[in-house]
Amino acid sequence: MHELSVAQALLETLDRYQRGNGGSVKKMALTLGRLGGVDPDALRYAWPAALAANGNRALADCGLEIEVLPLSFVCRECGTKIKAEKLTLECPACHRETLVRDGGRELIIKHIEVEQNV
Amino acid sequence: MCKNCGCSPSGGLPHHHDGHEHVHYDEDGQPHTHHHGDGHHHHGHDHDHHHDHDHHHDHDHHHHDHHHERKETVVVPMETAILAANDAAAESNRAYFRANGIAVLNLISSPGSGKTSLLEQTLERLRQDGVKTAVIVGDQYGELDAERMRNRGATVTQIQTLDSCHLNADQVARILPAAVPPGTELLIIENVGNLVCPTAFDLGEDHKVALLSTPEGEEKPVKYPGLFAAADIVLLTKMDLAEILGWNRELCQKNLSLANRSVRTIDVSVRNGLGLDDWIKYLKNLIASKKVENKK
Repeated sequence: MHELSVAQALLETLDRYQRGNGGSVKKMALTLGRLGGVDPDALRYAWPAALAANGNRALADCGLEIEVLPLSFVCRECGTKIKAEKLTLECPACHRETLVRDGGRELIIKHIEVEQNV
Repeated sequence: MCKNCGCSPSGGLPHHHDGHEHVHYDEDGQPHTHHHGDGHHHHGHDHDHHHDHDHHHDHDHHHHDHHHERKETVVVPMETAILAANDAAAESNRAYFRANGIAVLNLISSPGSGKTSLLEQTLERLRQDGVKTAVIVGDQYGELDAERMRNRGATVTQIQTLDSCHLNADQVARILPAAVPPGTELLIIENVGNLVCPTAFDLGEDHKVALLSTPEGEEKPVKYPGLFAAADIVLLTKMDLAEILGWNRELCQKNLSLANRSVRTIDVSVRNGLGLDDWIKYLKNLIASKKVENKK
């Protein structure tokens, strides 16, 4: 369960942002590749505990929005690009086992939503 | 009586005004702003009549400018790595290794797939060949693995991760340079036995090396593809048991290529020495590539 470490790393990033810019952080949107080694359910489970242990109350209401990317493949023979939910080798266009995976290990903070006084 | 809060000179709802400022509306809808706590009092006379507001109150009633506290939610684009802090520490480790021409491998596998046994033999071979080697070994508790690898010519340092299921780059940074002194040619990091968690944490290595033992079966690469997708090479260990177990090479290779088309494999058995020559050759090629890099 390294997702608690991941949650703490996310909170460190948020804390640095919030101290520099103020406001209260309401949401954080993440993009996860399927091969990045972070399980979205485990991260959602660890999140409230990590929030509760964090001293910066301006982060206390921050929700998580997690997008899991489908796997991307390129055919090394015909160049066809596909997205798939499962690991696969067979190209749907030329029916050979010639697909090469393109990425899949992404672990990215896409954006955050911050409530500010105006 | 005010429509807002029910405050009235007589018989209003109990509430506290503690120095805040707000607008009250009379029953005829006329706004009057006042600041509580600075001498404004609700007056003792009964308002059983409507104000017609054609007169000025002559008691100390203040009109103030009123500020609305409006909140706005803004979207701030980030596009940063989730593990940015670990990645930064890993880059700093990498800079140290590069400056000293040290080749670095991060060994990752399930517990019990043979990392420590492989390293025992590897260290003996490298000592014979005069390769200056360092080992960092991560376990949740204890020094058992480090003890097994000591007295084999290498600098061996144990990291206890306690509650954590993986090594992170900062833990490695903290023991540099003592654990990997200048002059070291090869650092092998034996990660915590875990097929999943260590994969996400870059330590500053050149390559991740996955071990997959025959008793684990053929399906691990598709069940836990993250490690195999990230590995430069997969050591298929305990090959001496393959026949007894009915281990299916074709199926295992097919599953490995689902996770990673370009991955190389070496069949290994520390019992009968299978594959150790190829493994040592892989290590020496990596060391040699560093020496070429340093001369540039």
